[in-house]
Amino acid sequence: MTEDVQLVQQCLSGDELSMRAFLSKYQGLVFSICLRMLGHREDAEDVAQDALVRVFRNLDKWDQQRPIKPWLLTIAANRCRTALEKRSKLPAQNDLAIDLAAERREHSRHEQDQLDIGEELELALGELREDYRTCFVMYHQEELSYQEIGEVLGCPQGTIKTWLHRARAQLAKRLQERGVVADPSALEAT
Amino acid sequence: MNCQEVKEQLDAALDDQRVVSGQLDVVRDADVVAHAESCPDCRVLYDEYLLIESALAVWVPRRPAVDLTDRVIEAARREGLISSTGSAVSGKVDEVGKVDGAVRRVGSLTSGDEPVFLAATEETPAAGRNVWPTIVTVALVLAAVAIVFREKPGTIAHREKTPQPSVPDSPPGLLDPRQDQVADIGHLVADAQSAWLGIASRVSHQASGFSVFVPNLTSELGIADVIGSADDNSGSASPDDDSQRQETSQPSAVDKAFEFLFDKAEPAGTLTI
Repeated sequence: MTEDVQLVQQCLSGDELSMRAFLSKYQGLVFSICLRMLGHREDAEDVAQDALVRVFRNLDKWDQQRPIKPWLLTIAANRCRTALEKRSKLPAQNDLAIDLAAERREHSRHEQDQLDIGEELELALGELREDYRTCFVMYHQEELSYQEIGEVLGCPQGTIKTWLHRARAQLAKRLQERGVVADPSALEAT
Repeated sequence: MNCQEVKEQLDAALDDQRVVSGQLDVVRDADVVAHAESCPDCRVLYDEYLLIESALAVWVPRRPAVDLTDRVIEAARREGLISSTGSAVSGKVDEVGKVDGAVRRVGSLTSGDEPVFLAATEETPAAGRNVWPTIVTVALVLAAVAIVFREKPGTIAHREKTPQPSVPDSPPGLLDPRQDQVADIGHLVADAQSAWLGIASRVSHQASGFSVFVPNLTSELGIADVIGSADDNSGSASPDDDSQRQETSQPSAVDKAFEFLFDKAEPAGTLTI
């Protein structure tokens, strides 16, 4: 029995301690994807809360033979899409990008040199189309497969592949527009 | 190698690069590089690939800090998703789900009410250092009082053990003989109080933050006046006073103190010790 299965079974019994442990483990994941998709912190908190309550309500429907992460992200993505439909228009700027821009100014010159390209990528991500951004984050950050992303977003794998390719291409163009160049030392360091 | 093959190779190389696993498989294939140098379209793709790969190599994905635990738990409780017998935790739970902090369910109210939980950082009134020094102090004081009563010559206990010389009955009009005993007890209590004060001060010195309550035992017992009157009236009590005391139906202070000390297991005014 995996750790997740055991934790979920305890949550299903209504044990508050286990539910808190579950939240501690997964609320960051759910909130992160909500913030990526909605681009607004307060909205993301509300939707993440709603999603997590739905998770507890439907824990018995999770197939314990499969990983829980895509299942959680599916619920979160569904709630985000519902919230986006209700929203008349997207926010002008991504909260996460604003936070990063402010944070960036506080870095020392040395740190800024080291983190420039990574932060530029984060800023560029905030400017991507929501579905491209979500696809990129689920693949590169959450390490979901094409199939899992397709299930989460309700799209065929071919669509996911196309979105991911376009996301990379648009990110590269935005980085080039900002004058960011490839850092060979970063590649060698890894 | 054609353009489609180059595109697929570059995409596949990026697919293999995951941030968390830190995998990196830079395309250094000579055929790809040679094609990119000769094909302007593929050159653009190759440059984009190098740029994204370089960015992913140093990208630290942001997972903004958030704590929705209480909000979600509250919402879940409203929906009845939390068992009423479930335990509560007040400490933080770390990323792998281990509980850091004490779990203390301090009690349930009547049926239907939600259990009362206290934070692990809070101290219950009965918990910890505030109680044990008091218990130790009281125990030491009681032991000291018992020893004094048992061993000190002249005490009632000592007198009971030792044969007393026969003393002719006091002539009428003299001081009630029990008053002497009560006065004696009063002095002993005062001695015990002093001993208690000494012990308590030592205990409180070792247990920082602990305040010691030292009651005035002689006042509590109501025999301070008796001590004073015994001291003042020794040998000078008038027959009138004695006859007056014998005539009255109200119990005297001596009577009350004597009854209090020896006849009552649970005095009405419980001592605060």
